[in-house]
Amino acid sequence: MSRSSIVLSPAHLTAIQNLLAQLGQQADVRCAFLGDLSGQELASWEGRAQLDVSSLAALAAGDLMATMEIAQLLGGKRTCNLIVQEHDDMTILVSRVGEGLFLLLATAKDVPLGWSRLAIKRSAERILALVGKAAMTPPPAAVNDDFVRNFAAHLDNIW
Amino acid sequence: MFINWALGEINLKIVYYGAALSGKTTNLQFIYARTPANLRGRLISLKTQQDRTLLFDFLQLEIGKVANLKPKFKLYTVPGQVYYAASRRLILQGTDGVVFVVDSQAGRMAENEESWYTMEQHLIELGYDLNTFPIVVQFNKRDLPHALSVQELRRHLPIEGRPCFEAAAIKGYGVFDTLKASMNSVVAAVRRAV
Repeated sequence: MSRSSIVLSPAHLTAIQNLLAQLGQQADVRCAFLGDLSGQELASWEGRAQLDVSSLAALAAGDLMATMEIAQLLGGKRTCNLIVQEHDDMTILVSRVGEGLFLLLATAKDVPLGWSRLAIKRSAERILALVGKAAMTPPPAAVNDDFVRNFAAHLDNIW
Repeated sequence: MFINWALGEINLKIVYYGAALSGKTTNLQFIYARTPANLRGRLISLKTQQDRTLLFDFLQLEIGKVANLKPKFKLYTVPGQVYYAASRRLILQGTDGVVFVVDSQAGRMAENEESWYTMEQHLIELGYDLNTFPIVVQFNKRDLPHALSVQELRRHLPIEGRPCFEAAAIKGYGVFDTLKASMNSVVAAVRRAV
């Protein structure tokens, strides 16, 4: 397995955020959130809530990865595509997007599960198409020697 | 690594790895306690009832703007107990650097060695090149009476050429030296990569 890094251009990121916002307006959605399996947050639509998206990304990625490990230990493959959590007041779905990303969708309890499953599946497909193109975009050379030097000095100022 | 050019953010991940009770969580707790509130997020700990790390600890640090970019670091610890190998591997996924925490006590060398070799194994499985991957070593618990000499610790672990720091994380000694070295080495690796 080789490592890969994702570089999203502003246009790609805007397209993903618009897609999440559309998803959020179709039903009583609490939040829609795209992250990667290493725990990085990529894009989110938060509705009315102010979410700690960094913590959410770390926990959701850990949840999905742990579920995949459970399947493997039970003799399956690490191919979990969807986790459904039914809580008292909401339903949370976490779907894999391609190999390295996940999409989290939290809806009110009364949103039909069938709608949520279909919505997250279709959104995952559309995001995968966008991110697939984005991954081909070469990054600008902003992380240069000056940045490395300034960064070290900046750390010394903090601690 | 995730780079968000629209927001000018570089998101980087550092994992504190090491044997059980070597002081990984203690490092994060001290970093959390001594970092200005505007630069850090919540310290999240998924613990067992015995207060041991179950899946991971997590802390995000926002360093502020440097040369028009905003570096953000996600710090994780792994559970140290031998039977949590699967959890350790999954936390290592996508990491940009590792801080390997060594327990300096004389009776803990076998655990340190086993932890180092399983870490190497996981990193290789995940596709990392160990020759270039940033690993910073922390010799922790230097304040304890039965701590081995640094020379002795170096003899047991294949860490030649790696940056090493002595620490007593419970008192904060060496914690930020280790963190800054790791952050700088991760940023240098990103510079080489992009």
